Amino acid sequence: MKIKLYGIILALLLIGVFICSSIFFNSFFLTLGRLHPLVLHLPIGALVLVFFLDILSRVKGHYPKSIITYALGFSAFFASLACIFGYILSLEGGYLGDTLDIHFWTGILSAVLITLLFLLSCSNNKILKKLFLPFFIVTLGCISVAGHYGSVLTHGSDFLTEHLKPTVSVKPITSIDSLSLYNNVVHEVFESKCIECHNSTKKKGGLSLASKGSLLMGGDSGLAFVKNNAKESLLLELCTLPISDENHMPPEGKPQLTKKELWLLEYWINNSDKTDDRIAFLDKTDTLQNYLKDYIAIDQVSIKHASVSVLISLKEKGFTIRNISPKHGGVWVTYKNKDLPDDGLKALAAIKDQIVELDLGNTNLSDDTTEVLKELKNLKKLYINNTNITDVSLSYLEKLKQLKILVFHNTAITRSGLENILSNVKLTKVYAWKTNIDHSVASVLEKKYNVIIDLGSDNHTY
Amino acid sequence: MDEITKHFLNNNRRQFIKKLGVGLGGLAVASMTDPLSFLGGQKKVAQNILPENALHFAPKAKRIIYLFQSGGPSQLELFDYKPLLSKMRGQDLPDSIRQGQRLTGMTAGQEKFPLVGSQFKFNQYGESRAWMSELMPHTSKIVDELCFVKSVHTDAINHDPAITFFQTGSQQTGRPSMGSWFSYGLGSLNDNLPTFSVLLSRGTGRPVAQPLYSRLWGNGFLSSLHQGVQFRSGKDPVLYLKNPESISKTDRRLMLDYMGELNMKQEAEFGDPEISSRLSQYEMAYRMQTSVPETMNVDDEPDYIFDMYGEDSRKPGTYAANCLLARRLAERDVRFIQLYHMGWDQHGDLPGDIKNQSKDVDQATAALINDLKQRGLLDDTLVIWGGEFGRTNYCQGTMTDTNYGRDHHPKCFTMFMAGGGVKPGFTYGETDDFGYNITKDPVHVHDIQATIMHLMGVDHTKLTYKHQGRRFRLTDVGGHVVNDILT
Repeated sequence: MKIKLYGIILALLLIGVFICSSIFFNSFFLTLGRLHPLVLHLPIGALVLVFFLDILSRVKGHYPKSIITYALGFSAFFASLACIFGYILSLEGGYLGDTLDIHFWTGILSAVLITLLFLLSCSNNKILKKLFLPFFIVTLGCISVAGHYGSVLTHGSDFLTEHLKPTVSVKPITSIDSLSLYNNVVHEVFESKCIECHNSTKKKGGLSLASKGSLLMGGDSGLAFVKNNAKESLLLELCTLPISDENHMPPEGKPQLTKKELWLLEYWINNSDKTDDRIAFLDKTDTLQNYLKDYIAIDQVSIKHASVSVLISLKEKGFTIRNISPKHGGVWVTYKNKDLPDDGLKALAAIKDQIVELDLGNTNLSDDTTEVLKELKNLKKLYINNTNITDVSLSYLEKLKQLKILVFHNTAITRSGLENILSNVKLTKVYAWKTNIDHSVASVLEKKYNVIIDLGSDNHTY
Repeated sequence: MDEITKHFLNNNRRQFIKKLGVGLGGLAVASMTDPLSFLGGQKKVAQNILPENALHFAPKAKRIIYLFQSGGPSQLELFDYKPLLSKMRGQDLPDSIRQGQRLTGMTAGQEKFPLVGSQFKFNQYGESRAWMSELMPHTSKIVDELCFVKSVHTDAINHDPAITFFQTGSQQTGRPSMGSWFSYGLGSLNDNLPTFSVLLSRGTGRPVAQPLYSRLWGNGFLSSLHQGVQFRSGKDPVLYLKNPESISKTDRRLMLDYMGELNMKQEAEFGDPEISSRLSQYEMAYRMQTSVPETMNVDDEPDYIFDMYGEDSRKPGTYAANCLLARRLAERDVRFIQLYHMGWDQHGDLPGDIKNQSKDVDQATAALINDLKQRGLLDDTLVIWGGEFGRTNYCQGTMTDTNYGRDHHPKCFTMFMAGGGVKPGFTYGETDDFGYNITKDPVHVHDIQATIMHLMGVDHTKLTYKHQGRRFRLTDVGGHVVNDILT
């Protein structure tokens, strides 16, 4: 009786669906397809529950036959429904290749197997009863295969194993010029925002962005882009439609392309005829240079943060300390009073790794306290203007490879002191106003060491 | 229950809930970042040592000198060379150019809008070949240090809303000024001087121009700790800073200590954050008693520095003197130094007035930039020069051979910047041949603000303050960083 009823309902449903599909292929019908991912989980859950109950009751000795039958009926019904909805979903297109076929047939097989299980559980035949458990295991295996290929369709083939694979260590690109516009930039954009639905297994709209080759093939609506003409390119057009437009890409609710990414895509299309798309060979604009900064590995300065107690003690001595970046512990240290603390700069040794910029200008700094500067290996910028230092202090800086800018106007520094430091450290700028260094010396040194030496305005020409 | 008791209880309940939430959350965060913080109140001290809570990326500029040219300098006489206007002199502004732009009450009644070109000659200067008018001979020499933005536009057409818009991001009053936002977001660089310092000067171009008012450097809804402090010329640079006669420094200290105790009791009772703001302001004022006179006393400046800034720099209260002070404040790491120079509002008698007005600022501006440079400060100090809007390409009032005037024009005007992370010797944006509309790379006031914040290491969308149920920011709901002018 139960079987008949169930069979009739299912048959009616099947017939109804196929009549619908043959008569009208409307939006309501396609919406049913979208319910596939919802419905498909119901039979799986029920099946696993029944398996659990079956094993448990075999151990415990009390077998709740009616519950198992009902639950298998539930599972069989929704498995069939999932097959039907899945078929409708596949009609939308975009799912190509063998993966869909495997999912399709294993899905139907699962539904059939579950239905057979249901029938088995209804029967009272002893031989058939013995078959029940092995049959159940086969069914579980089949539904696992179907489920797996289903997930490959939705999430891509390496979704499951993504975190298991060892990360390939590619040497990071550190200069903008050596970036390849497609491989390192455009593909990265696709990879992060588009490839989930446009890959070789799930080709929504017939478009795959998995490789440059597949991109060039375009999709169902034609070519994805027109060379050197971003304005005429479908890819960009769809991405720049208002988000409320149903053709907008990526679809509403998915991570959207940023302004910078859109700009880069447009720039790439407009330069897509170049044989070598490394940035070094392209016309440079400032926007390009700025936007590409996100795609290079900037050599990370990893300066540890100084401890709070050290910072407090330095503050008490009168030093002002400020962060120079939110990303590391590098600091900028200034001293605001004329008279340095009694122990001079010794306290700075505690943050010798952290000091990136140091301003000791306008203090009573002299050569007998500056030896600590030798240890400031991360120092980039040093102000020692209006102090009593001489060339001796400059010689302490010889080993500071990071040093770039040196400000010592109004001091007794001479040519030999400056030349000594220039020959040891690659400075970019030197501020030497009101020192013994004159214009002729400066221009010689500027040429020899490729540095800018600022001698100030010639005092009264204004 | 009387109202005071009610308020008292109410406050306590709120405080309790607030403290419970913040306290537990804070405890959790603190324990993650610094386990030692459980052992004592070190965290708070640490924040005082490194206060840049809103530093979002490594800054290019550490301090800003904003040379605000109040009144709306005429870009057509100073920077934006438009020979077509001289050719078409006297002809009516075509409607196709005006495109229905709204006018101020001052020219709305005019029957004709006769175009008028600059009476002053233009030339290209420097390696960057930037156009400059003969009104700015000194600035012309340093164009290779400057980054011009010729396509700034604003929403407002009258002085007050336009200045308020530039300073606070809103035409309506009540928001914090730019300097206050930096004080709030980045904190002080020098505990002895106000983080946001303001200097005012009157121009000779139009000595009785509109006044400015302290709300332009006001803190809005931020703690009053962040409001701009005006430095005046004359005996008392900061009002009420000096001790009254017969009060010694020790007496003052004792008084402050006792008052501090009382205030702290009051704070513990009511929890009003303004009390602690006031407390730290008293302390700041005490420190300023020594630091301000020392900063403002220019006697130690050599003669050639005065010569460099021009004769005016010896007269306190002039723009030139303020530029010199701005350099002294920058040397002492004042984070935001705001100058205002009034008198650019040349509705009539423009040729004569703008000549005087330009003379006020030309030499001192160039000297300031050069002076910062030779001291190695220009690399990380951003200098900004500009007004609240531009001026029209047509004449306001009667036009004679030697005389004309210009009305307010919001649709395009020129600003320039120097130092601190902007490209030197660079011009950005273009206007049409009429000097009326922008044809390339428009830059809105919010874009300028976003860019300035970016240079200081702040993401303009992230520095916010919640007030009356909404998170406010300087750029309101707009603003894009102008990446193309950054180094």
